[in-house]
Amino acid sequence: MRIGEQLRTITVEPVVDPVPDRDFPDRFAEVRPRRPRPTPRSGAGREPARLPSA
Amino acid sequence: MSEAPDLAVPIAGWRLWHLGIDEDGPVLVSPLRPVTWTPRRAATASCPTGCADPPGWDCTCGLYATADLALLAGHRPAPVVLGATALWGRVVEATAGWRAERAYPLVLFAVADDVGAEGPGVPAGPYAGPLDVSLLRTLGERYGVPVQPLRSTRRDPLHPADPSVRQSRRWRGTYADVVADRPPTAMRRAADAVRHEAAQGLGARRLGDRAAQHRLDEAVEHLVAALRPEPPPAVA
Repeated sequence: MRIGEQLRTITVEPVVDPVPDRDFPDRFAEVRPRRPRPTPRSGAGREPARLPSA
Repeated sequence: MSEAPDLAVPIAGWRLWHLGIDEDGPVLVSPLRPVTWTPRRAATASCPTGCADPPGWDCTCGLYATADLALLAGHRPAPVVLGATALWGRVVEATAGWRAERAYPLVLFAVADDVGAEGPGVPAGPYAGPLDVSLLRTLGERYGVPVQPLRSTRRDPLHPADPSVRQSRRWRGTYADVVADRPPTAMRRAADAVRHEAAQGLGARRLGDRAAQHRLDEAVEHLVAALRPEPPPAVA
């Protein structure tokens, strides 16, 4: 195979191994639904936690 | 402490293989030296003259791949599998390709004349069985890479005028025939897109990114379209 004139030598270290190890996911990762952001009134009506008695 | 790498993404280049067979099914075999590329294991360069760290600068050893698809057209004897392969480790860069220490296929294209059906074909190369869709599927599953069938432009050269002979004695075309007379600009552009996406999208595909997989599928489709034989001129 002709690849032309040599230019330089480089080092290639892939972050991801190009060799698959049966690791292609059949099922995609599930992400839990995001919890609602707390608002100033979101705790209203809830019993406040008791402080530990001294 | 090792030296910092120049690249953190593998280089992708084009190369050819013969199709071999072992007890578990089809395998890729280097066309020049009868070395099998073991499925799910990186191919590692070795030097017949004894280089300490193949590929040596003053040697010709290493795992070869080219940047330009058209450079493979004149290859003889004609291998039947074309592919974009990942190259990494110690890599000697040249003006039109690379010699690398390690390699593994990223996407494969098998040249066959009758890949549309599960029927038999006439073999070429070390593999002596039919080259059909199920075989290509098995090849892809063994290596964990997509395999795309390509059609040859030629028919049986021995009996070009007899359609019954063409049906019964199919002649498996070669990659050289597939790339012959293709529009070079369109083919090169499509081939570069496959090479780029196969390497750059590797990490995302591994994580199950469907968009990255779609980009590679689309690039492969464009290349297959660019390599598709022209329909014969209509006879009035």
